[in-house]
Amino acid sequence: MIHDAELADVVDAAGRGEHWALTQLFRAYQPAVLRYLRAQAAGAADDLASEVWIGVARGLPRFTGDESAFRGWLFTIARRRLIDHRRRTARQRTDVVASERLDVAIEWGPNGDPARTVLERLGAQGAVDELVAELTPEQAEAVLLRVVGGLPVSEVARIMQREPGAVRVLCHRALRRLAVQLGDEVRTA
Amino acid sequence: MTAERDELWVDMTQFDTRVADGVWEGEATDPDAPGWFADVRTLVHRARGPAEPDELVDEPVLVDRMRRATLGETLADLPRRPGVRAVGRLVAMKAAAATTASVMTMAAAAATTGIVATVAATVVVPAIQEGVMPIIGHESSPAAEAPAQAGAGGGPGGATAGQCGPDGDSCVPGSTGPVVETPRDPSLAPAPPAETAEPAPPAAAAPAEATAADPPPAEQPEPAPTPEPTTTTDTTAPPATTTATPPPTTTSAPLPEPVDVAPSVTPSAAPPPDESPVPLEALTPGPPAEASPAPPPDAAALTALAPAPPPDPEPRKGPEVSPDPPPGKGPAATPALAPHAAGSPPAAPGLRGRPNLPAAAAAATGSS
Repeated sequence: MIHDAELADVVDAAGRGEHWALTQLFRAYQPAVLRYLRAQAAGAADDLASEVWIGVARGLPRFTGDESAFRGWLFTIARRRLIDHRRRTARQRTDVVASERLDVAIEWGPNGDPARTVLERLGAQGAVDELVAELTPEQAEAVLLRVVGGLPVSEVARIMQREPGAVRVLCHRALRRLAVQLGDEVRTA
Repeated sequence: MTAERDELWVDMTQFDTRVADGVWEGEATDPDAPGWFADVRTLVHRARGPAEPDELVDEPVLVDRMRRATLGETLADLPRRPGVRAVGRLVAMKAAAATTASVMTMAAAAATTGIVATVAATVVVPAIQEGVMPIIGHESSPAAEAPAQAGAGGGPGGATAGQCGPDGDSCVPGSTGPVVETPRDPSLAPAPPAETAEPAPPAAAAPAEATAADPPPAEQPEPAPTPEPTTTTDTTAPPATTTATPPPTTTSAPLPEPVDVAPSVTPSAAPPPDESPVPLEALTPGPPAEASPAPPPDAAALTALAPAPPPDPEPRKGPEVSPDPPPGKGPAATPALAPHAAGSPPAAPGLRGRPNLPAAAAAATGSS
């Protein structure tokens, strides 16, 4: 993550093609972008991430805003690339299912132990996958943008073209599912 | 549905938004939070964790692409006036048209004015004269035999094989390749001792005449080509010492003549001079017979004229080269010839060198 103060300089330099600035941006946001994409299109995440960054590079000279705006812009591009990918795959009717997903389904059978699974999965992508494994696509997207993208509800609502309240509902439903998934009953404070 | 919505709404109202935000940000510190919040918080923390190695593997490639994309975009963003674009297109079109026109003009001019022909005359013709003609003259006949005998076995003359091609089938009877091989074959060599005399044509006198006489190839062509090849073989064997020696020198002289004649002259022209060995007869029944008689005398005369100096055992290449430029480059040619003459003893190199000058190099390269 890059602070607001230095983000302006970094973005400005990156817009001029400065290698160091591009590298800094890439290192700061690539993990989040990749996790977001892998959670929704595991088989094409790397290619999609590449397209996202190229799109970012082309738009850098025209970008203005703070860190939050940059993050929102970045995930907006990522989401659009993801939608394009889904359209293509819908036409081709070939959807790659990550082997990890299959493993999760097996482990989380009737007698699965979510707690143990959580402990075993120490990787970032594993945690992301667990978060959204039992969620609907909309819930998963909202949660991913909030958790992985680190975006506020308002920004998530803008990206998803929904009302902030709807996003909150999606997140709350997701939370309930997670609670069930983790083996505890929902107990609101 | 209504019950669910109500329930959700209740949940939302009961669930403080700050707490909810804290959960999704992994900062849920509410003491009243249920136990499963801890698991969710753990997942969130890990999902937001630092970059892992596999996630930055593509950094070099992607950053490079980003850089190019950024630069490309920057250039594309440069302000351009419509007029400038139009001028740029116009200039590009004119440049392309000018280039095309110039190329076509040059091609047409070359074809019309004969530049191409000039090049052929200055480069190709001399090469043919120096390298090919002698060969044709000498061993148009051997060529036929060569492929059969030496062709498969690769014969001693590796150079020849290269000219002819892999199989040797591609070689034309009058072509360069076969000629060389034939003489080298041991079996053929012994037979034409008399021929040895042929190549011998007087070296000293010959050159001078050759230059002048070059124009009328018909007269002198006979001695030049045939003799040398034959000589080489023969010399190698027995007679070399006495008789063979002179021939080589002579060879140089005759060569020039064939050169002039040779260029375009086809094998048919060559045969007469080639009287040389057996092969001639085998190849071309008609002309060889007539020609054969003539050469012997020449050879004899030549041998007589130039007895003293060197006995060039294997003049093959020497003769080929010599035709055109008998003069001064002799020494240089010698080295190239040396390998062939390895078997030959004494003065061979020196004698050979003179006549063969440039032709030797050309022949050597061509043969190889």
